[in-house]
Amino acid sequence: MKDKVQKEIINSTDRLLRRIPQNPDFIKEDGVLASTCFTKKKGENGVSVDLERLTTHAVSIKDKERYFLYYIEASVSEEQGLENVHDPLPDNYAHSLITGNITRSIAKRLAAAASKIQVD
Amino acid sequence: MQVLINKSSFLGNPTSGFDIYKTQALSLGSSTMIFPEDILSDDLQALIEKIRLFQGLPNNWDDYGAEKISPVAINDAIQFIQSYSGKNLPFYFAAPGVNGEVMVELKLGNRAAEVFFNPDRSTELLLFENNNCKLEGDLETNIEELISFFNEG
Repeated sequence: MKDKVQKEIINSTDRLLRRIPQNPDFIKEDGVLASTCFTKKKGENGVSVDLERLTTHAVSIKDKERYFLYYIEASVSEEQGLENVHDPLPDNYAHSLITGNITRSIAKRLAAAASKIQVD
Repeated sequence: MQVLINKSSFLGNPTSGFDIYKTQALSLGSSTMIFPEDILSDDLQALIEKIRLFQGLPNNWDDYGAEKISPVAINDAIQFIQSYSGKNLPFYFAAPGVNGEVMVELKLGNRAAEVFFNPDRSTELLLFENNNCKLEGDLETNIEELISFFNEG
């Protein structure tokens, strides 16, 4: 019998991490991320993020020469009528999904609410 | 008034949605110019060059499985900027999308617009005021609304 992977409940106060490529530039002059940073890929169940408390910034960013690391509060996506779901992967236990109807305008709001994390 | 045309602009299926609004641009009369890149402002040239560079993004360019950016979407986005550079539109930013699309953002004060050029040549237009979405539709149907949105007195 396969062991079931324990799934976490994502709380409103949790932080969800997302890698943003450094090139091309997704950061506008006003410091806000482009909305395409939170667009759902066709065929996917949601926007991939990492649940911060289950990982480290160094792991989540993967390559700090190629990516920036941003976070949004889980409450931000919840306020847009979305659901945050812990979706562990074999190589990433912290993997989670922001699921629901992520329209273009909602993606813009998620991007606007994202904050950068300095990863040393 | 002579209409300057970038010869490389007229590509693709003439009955596609994008070509319909190119036709509209030409039919708006003597005040419409389509500018070859070499007489666009430095900012617009830089924006166009940024979009061109999206061609070099490989599959999975974001490490989340993003698709390569469609050459059709890139071309449509560039032609839009070239075609409407003379309409006093505040082009602001451009970014690739995870489904192969190109997003062009316009912004002036508390008003913003996002225009999406998709690989299937469809377009999407969203108008925002104070971060609230005021209109959502396609570019072809709403091009006049886009122009007046940023040119109201």
